[in-house]
Amino acid sequence: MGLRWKLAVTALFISLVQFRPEAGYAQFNYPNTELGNVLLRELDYLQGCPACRVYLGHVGLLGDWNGSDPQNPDNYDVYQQQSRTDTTNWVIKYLEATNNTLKRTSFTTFTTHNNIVYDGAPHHSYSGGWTPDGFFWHAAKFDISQRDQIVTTASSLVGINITFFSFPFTKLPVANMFIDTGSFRCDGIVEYIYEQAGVGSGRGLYPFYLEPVIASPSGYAVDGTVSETGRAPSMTIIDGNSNPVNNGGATNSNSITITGIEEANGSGVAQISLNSDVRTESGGLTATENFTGLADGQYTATVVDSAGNSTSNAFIIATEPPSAPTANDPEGNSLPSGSGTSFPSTRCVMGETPPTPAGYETVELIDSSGTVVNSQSFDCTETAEYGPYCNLSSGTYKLKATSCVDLSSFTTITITSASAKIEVCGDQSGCRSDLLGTGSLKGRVMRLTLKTLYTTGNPNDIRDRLMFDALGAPFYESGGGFIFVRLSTTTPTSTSYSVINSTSYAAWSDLRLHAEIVDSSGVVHGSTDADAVYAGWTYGQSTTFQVNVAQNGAEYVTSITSVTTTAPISYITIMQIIACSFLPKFFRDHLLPSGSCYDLSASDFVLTSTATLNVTFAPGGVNVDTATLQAFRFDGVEWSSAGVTTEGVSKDTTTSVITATAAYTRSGEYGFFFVGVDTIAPTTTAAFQGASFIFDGALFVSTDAFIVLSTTDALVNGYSVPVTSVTYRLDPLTPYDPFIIYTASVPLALGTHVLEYRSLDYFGNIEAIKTATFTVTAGTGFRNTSSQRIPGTLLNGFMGAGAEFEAVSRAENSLTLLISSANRQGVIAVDNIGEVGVGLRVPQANLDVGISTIGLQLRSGNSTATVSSAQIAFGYNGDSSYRHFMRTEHSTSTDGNKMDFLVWNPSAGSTATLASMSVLSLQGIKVASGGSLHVRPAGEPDAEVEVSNGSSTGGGTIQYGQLLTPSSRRFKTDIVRLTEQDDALALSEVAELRHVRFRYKSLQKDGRLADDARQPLRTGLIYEEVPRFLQGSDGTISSIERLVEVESALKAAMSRLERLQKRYAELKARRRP
Amino acid sequence: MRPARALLLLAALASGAYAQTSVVGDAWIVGPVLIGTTTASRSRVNVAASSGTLTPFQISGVDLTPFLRVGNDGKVGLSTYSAANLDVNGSGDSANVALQVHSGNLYQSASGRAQIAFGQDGTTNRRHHIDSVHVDSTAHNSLDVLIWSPDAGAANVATMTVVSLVTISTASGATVHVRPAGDPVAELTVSDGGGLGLGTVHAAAQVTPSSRDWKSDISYLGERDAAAAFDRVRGLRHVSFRYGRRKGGGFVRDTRAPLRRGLMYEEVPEILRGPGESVNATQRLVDAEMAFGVLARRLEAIRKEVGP
Repeated sequence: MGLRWKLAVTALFISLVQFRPEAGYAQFNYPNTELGNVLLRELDYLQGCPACRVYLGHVGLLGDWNGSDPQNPDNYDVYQQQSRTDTTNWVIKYLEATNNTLKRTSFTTFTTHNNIVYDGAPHHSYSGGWTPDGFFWHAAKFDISQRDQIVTTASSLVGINITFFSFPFTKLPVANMFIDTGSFRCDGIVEYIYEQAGVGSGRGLYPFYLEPVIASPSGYAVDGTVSETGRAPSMTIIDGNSNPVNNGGATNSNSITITGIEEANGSGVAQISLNSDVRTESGGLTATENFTGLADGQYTATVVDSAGNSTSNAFIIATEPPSAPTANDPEGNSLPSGSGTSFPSTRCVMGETPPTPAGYETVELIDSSGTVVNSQSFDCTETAEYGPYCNLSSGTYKLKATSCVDLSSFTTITITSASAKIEVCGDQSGCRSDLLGTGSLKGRVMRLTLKTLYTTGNPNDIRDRLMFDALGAPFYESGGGFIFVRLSTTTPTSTSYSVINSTSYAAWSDLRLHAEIVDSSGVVHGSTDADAVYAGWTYGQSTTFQVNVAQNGAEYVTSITSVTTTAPISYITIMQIIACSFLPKFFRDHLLPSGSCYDLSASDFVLTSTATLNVTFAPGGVNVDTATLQAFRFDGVEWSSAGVTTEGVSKDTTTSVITATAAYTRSGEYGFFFVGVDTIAPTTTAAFQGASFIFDGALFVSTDAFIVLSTTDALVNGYSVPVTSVTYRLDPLTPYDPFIIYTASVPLALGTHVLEYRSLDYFGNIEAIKTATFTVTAGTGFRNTSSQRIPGTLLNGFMGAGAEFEAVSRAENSLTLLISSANRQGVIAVDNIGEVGVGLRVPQANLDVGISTIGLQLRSGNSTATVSSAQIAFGYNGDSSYRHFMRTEHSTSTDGNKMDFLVWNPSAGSTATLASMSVLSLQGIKVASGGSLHVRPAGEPDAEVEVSNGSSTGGGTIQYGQLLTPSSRRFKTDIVRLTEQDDALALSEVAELRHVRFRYKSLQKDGRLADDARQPLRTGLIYEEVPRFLQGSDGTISSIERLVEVESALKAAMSRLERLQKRYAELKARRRP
Repeated sequence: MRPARALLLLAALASGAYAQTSVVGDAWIVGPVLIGTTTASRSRVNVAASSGTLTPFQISGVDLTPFLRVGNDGKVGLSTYSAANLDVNGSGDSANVALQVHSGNLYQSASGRAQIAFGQDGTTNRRHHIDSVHVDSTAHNSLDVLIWSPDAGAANVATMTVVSLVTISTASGATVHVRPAGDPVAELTVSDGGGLGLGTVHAAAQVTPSSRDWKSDISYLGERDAAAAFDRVRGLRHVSFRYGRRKGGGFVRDTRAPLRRGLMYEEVPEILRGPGESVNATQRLVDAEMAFGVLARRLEAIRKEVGP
């Protein structure tokens, strides 16, 4: 310990005060990780307190204790826990082992964080308050790094000596204080005497804190003792089971051992008594007395020392178990109570235990498997009120009451299942119509009606298009291009709808689906909105709305009847029976005969009625199973199957009475519903009203025919919801074209049509799209399967224009001629405005050529002889005047291939004549890279770009803003630096250039060059006279090389000038200029 | 699927019927139809022309406009009597599209479709053709003209592109690219099929727009500018070289290329540099002219000092 003391670096403050006459405390400095071990070794104070445990935990910055369960409950073991916000805060805490309730506390917090020791005080308390048998040192704060101060408050202390030390040890003691008995005042001010080596001594008062100012100590140590003068003795009470009995506690043992304990400097134990049994002791520091055969009751143990100081503890002896708890219902009805009591599951169970002296600790409800279903704790109260326990499953339970001396008693109760029977009766003979009016269930059938769908920003913009019909179908096609599909059909409280954009309307913003719950009379029973953020819709995109409503009656169809039950009839209260006028008509029509639907409301509802309602079922009957007919409970908000189980459904073959049985556990309103009865989509049939025939596998109908759509919906389980709409679309161009609601037979236009149609019912069952293809014809038509040979004229239309075969367009025909491939693709199509398509069937230009390896091929290319044919001529405004044209020349050699672009000008001679002026020729050439763009061609080009002027090859002019030459080192090879000699050569060559004035000759038609005085005078050089470097191909001079030659010559001239200037300066200096 | 509605007046209802027959209503004939002939052919519809009828086949509008007319001379007219093998009527200044072809290529695809091919003398030999290339981006939309050359083979379409009218992302956005090679950067780029801008221009004169009318911010260059030009010319480092041949992403030595003289882009002053790692010949000429002026003045100064 001494070594550790010396090695301490950070502040560690440990003090433990036990409820013994002498208290001590010490401070140590150890790393946190070693703290637990240190405590084990150092806290020998705890040896005298076997019922104590030490915990090391943490406190928050506000001093709140984290009271988590200790991990190591052995004595002196250390519970170590990370701080929530600061891993360096620590707390030592010891508790009584008998329970986790904090009774006596002594803790110290440590921290190395910022060198602050928070709290840092031993304090000692009982749960009932501070006691005089120890001292507490409350809310001390050691701030080593800041002010070298110890801040503490003290409100109660008796006779202690405290010494403060500081670290490092070499400076000890910095302050030695003795605080006598009277120094601590009730106001918490400490009056002290101090002595400080080398400083002096004195006496002073410190309110709430001590501040021994010293120079930079790194820690403090506090030690001290508590004097015991005037203190009362303490005691321990141990029962016959060797368990301690606390002051105010109880025991189930009738044997008690009382030990009086006097502090070391006390006067000695003089007397021990238990109630009136007073025994005198010899005056030693400890004395023990045994008391046996004690009767149940209240006892007081007293220990008196020789100075007359005394300590008393009270406790109870209770050796008899408590009486069995009683059970009752919470409403105090006169139900039987006690063991063996039976309760219907519709009731709750509660009760109060008989009084017991030791008081009750727990009351538990234990099922037949031994599982504690419910447990309630009590603080040793004389009686315990328990429950209510509701919604219990049927079975046998124990109600177990345990006293605070661990004695128990129990009561057995039985929970019985309440069951009901429903008789569903068709209108066959044998139905018990005589029971009408004696009982029924409430059928809450409503349906969700989708009212509108609109953007949240502007409700008006698409509202008109989206208004639903009055019936509010779960699936609806508005005809405005929006398809609504109910996605879920099984959840009674929530429904999803998918809204699909089936038109070209786009760029919507947020959408809001407004749904209302309405009955067939239009009464609104609630509404809800669902929003979807969905901008920029395109074809086929959809979004989903979730609509939550209390009741979606479309999911359930009542066939409410009567109920029977084994429960006593006396618990049925029939409130009223009314006709279910709110049921939608289509439900009434299909399920219930007029006036045969009733409501039943009951306050404390146990289904006992045998009343029967007549229900008409569609032919085919009803499936008699629990998947078809199920019980639901209405809790005032919604119908659900919670708390009710459909146990069985059966049908009497003689009376046709259908009996359904359900088990339930609570009161309420119950109904039996058909669930999910219709999962089959309607079946729609298209027929034609009028003449029709089938020829060669195709359907033809006459022009006076109409489409007639009819639909049926198959029965499922004897039931089918009605069809909400029949829809169709004629000749859709895309899969997203909207369907139209079918309301009447549809007239037809001539031609071939594609009809798509489908129907939907109120359950959202959607029929798959059906397709019919047919051709509407005029008259009865001519049909022949053999070949037709017509030596004469074949005219199709009203009148002929002299053609052997002529088809005349009619306004109703989108195409006048269609020649199809074997796979029905358009080969040639002529529409009704004269546009011709080749390789496609919807032409969009006068001549529209579809995709092919070669779109259009023209074969009027010329040889190099006459060059008189045109490949494409471009005429003006619907006639053949002012025609520009393209012509081609073809040759086996490279240089005979051309594509010429000629633009008309007056020199053509006539507006009716093709252009004669060639503006551009793209041609192959033998030289250069093999191809040339020849502007105003004349002669044969020899460069990639040949700019002629129509008469002289290359005699044309180029106009440009900048002339660039590729120059980067990347592009070049064989780079050799030109020398001064090259520059000098260039200078001499430039000097030798013989510039001339000249005109270019013109190219004659026979290919000769001839003088042409019309050509402008120019200045320049003659190819044959220029240096080799300046010569280009075929008699040309390279302008770029001329520029290089000039630059190079210029540099040489500069160099010579500089030398000349230098030489002249030298001569001038020698006066020999 | 909408087959053309038919209203037929049939000259014959049964095979080999010659009497005039009328059917008021629709007619459907599953077998072949031969018109103007009784000789079977493999055609579904065979209309045989006769010299006595100018128009063997005609699809007419409601006003009998010949939407599609085949004359007995074999020429086809679309909404017109044909003055050519295929004569397409139209109208000017009316947003009318006379001919539309759909076989454009996607940029960088290798489909190689031709929009219009030009065959020789009634054959498909030695076909020049016009292609189009399309892409969403600014650059590389082009209309290409290819001229046939012997290396393509007589029966094949041309393989040599002579000119490409192509959009570019630089300069003014489009260029005429002669013998294209690489991506051009100027309005007119003359390549040689191997290297960008390595082609030759053959012209008698080259002019630059020069009138004061076309210019603004005109300021005359002074002695300092002339001296700077003098120094720039003085510092030019001329070299002889050959242009390399494009191979892959770079250039390799081409011994067949002519030896040229010039400058290296990397060594010339910034003022002489052009886009695409080129040297601006126009600016070189200006520098040379100004340097000559300085040189002349200095010579004159010495002449005056030395005396006549």
